[in-house]
Amino acid sequence: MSNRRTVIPFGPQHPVLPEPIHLDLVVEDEHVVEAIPSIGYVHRGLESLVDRRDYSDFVFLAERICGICSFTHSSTFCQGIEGLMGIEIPDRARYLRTLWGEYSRIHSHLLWLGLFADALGFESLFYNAWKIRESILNEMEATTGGRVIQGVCKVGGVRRDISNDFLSCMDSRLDAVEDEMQELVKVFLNDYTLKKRVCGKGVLSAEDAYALGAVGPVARGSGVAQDVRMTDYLAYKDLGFKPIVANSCDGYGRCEVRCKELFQSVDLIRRIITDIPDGDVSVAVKGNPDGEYFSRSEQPRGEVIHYIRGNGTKNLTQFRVRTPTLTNVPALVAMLAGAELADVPQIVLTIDPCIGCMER
Amino acid sequence: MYGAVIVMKMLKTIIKQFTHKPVTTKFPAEPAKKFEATRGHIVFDPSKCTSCTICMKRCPSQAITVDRANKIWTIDRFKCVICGGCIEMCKFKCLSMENTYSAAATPAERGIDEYVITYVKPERPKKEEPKAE
Amino acid sequence: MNMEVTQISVSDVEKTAEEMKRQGYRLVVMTCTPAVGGGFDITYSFDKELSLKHFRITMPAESDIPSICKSYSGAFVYENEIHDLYGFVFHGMTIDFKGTFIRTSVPYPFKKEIPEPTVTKVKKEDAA
Repeated sequence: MSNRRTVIPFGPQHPVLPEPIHLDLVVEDEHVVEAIPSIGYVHRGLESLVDRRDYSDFVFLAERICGICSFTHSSTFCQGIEGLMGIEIPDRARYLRTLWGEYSRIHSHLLWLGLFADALGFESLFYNAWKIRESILNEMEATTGGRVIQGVCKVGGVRRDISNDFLSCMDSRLDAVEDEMQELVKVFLNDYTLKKRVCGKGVLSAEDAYALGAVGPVARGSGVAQDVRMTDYLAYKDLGFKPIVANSCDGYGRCEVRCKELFQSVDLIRRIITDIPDGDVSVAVKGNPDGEYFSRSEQPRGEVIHYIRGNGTKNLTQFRVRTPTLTNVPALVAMLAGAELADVPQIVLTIDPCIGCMER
Repeated sequence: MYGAVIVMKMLKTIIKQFTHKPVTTKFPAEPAKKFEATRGHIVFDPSKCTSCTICMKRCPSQAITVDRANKIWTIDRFKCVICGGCIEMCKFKCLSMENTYSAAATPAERGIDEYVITYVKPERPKKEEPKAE
Repeated sequence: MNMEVTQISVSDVEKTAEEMKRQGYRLVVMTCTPAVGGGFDITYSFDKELSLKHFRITMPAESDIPSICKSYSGAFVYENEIHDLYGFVFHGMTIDFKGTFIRTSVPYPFKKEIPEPTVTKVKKEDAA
């Protein structure tokens, strides 16, 4: 009887999935033998729009690749264009981009923690996580004008400045947020029921994580210290960044990495607020991009690559994005092999799938 | 002992429920939160627009149309993503941002705002005096 | 960041991937883009300790390409995506979806001519 296999379709509509991804689970008894993913439910062909829009307007479109890591998408795109045109952005703009990037990391991780708690059936924890996220979103809205789509990045710098007074207010408000997050994270890392659902589930060894090209918290939760913030882009070289790594290689490890990154981001924001230099926030941009460039940065979900090619006209000719979720899919397939059917939803969620991002 | 600790923790949470205001707001009674910087909607000043069409050409979502012949400036509120790009691009400062959201609408009703451009080109040699004849 | 791209021939793809794997590189991305003089560029990017290395092959449309799944089994997502969007055929993928990884209503949507810019245009100005 043991080798009778059944194929169970999982998704694209499933309570734990905020976005559509389909998995064919080949099941033997209660164990998943193989998982075959397929995507394409929300493919918009956004990348091909690039040759029809002015490169400086495309920032707004690049930002809309994803609703959660929108800021990082726009800053990565701008970074690519600036790299092509040899523009050096002012220091204050560099710091502000880092600041907003870290705020969006906190908000993304809190969103994930909430969704994860919800998937486990722990609804009050979900409310609490999203309650804290709301205060982060308020800061975002007060400084940029948008809750999730910030629209502050532009080629050559940023559109809005934050006054130093406001920055120090933000600093003091962070203390309250940090206290609330401490309470929240305690539950995530110590709760008996929660641990039962994540410890030892979705195991991905460090070797597999590296070989399959996993990035972000998926790689770091498996003990691979891989973080683009270790390279010297934006203000990270001044801030002296050290990645957070967990060695348990399972769902708990990935959860732990995200929980600890919340406080790391808070620390980074504090450092930014104390160190931020005064000055302009943007430089004038003249000319058109010519050549090709691989721009990369660290999103909440991992490393993102924007490939940009221009030919000296105001329209870019090529634009391709590789988002972290796409490269985490092989890792997900490896995690699901051997898992129990009842654990599949949680395991899928531990990679923090962002399907809209993945398909552009 | 351990039980007592848990009860104390729960008590703290329970007391909080009575002493603190709810985190949500009672929306219609209390206005929705907004900030100085909130991008609410685009406001158009028809007396300054010279129909240069830069806003139409550069709008990322093609929400703006400018009809030069009939002097009509149109914005589709459903297409507009409120990026604020047009405000920066406009050389004549006829666009601005307000921090209130535009009123409820459907694409057919009140979704498209039309403005008649009232700008009159000033006479050549003089610079500042618009001649409204 | 390294932007230098090494041009290689199609027959060397598997060999290069093996060599990169041996040196401990990680596959970052496979990018498919239309090439300047016709055909398509497929760029393989590898990373080791945060420094990138790029290799490129230039291929006419719809040609056959050997898969690098033997060395990097995670490459199947990129290869299937390139197959579904551009119409290249990869041989030896670990999971071959045969065109169902990304289901699009138009087959191979990115294999096309560059279209006209989409800028709002008002109908010809009739003499007012």
